[in-house]
Amino acid sequence: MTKTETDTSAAQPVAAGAAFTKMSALALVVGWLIPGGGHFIQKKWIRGSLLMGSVVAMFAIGLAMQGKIYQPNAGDLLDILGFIGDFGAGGLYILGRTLEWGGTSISFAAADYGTKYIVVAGLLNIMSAVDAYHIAIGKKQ
Amino acid sequence: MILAMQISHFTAAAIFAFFVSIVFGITQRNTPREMARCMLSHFFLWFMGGMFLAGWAMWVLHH
Repeated sequence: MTKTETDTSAAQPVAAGAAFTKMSALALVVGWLIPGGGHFIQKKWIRGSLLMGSVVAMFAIGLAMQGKIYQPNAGDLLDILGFIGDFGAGGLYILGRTLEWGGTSISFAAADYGTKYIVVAGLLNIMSAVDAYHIAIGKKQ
Repeated sequence: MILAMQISHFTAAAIFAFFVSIVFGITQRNTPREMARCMLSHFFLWFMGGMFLAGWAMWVLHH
């Protein structure tokens, strides 16, 4: 095998952003279901703990402020986007819907802040799950 | 009776900036050193600075 061939084959996985493996799929799914879970299964304990703490704290503070958890809907565009954001929280969203957490209407300022907190917690959880996926495929350390 | 946590807009924004900075710092940088620096100097301070600027801008527009 020539040197050129060896270099090309070695460079391919890095250039392609590495392969999709069982671990990468698992990191994505677990990271979505459990905030920081995608990092935990890859033994990134500190990062996972910080991500979990941040997402869970934002979700919990949002609930404490009587924030609303959106349900699946086909009505107002902002409600649809709110649901998409909330759904990003994965397990927290499922738990919240199952146990009927959160306010039913946004009737005062703090409830509005809380609703935004819950939506942002979901979006941050998606970011952390994607980060776990990037670590699993070797795109990030 | 529903007891809701009541916090000011400023406190809500500061808490928001704190947690979002942590997640952004971890997900947007590669090394722990860069992450820590980025959390504080980039994201948190920019969030807080932007909030003060926006607040004063609204005050100026209002008066």
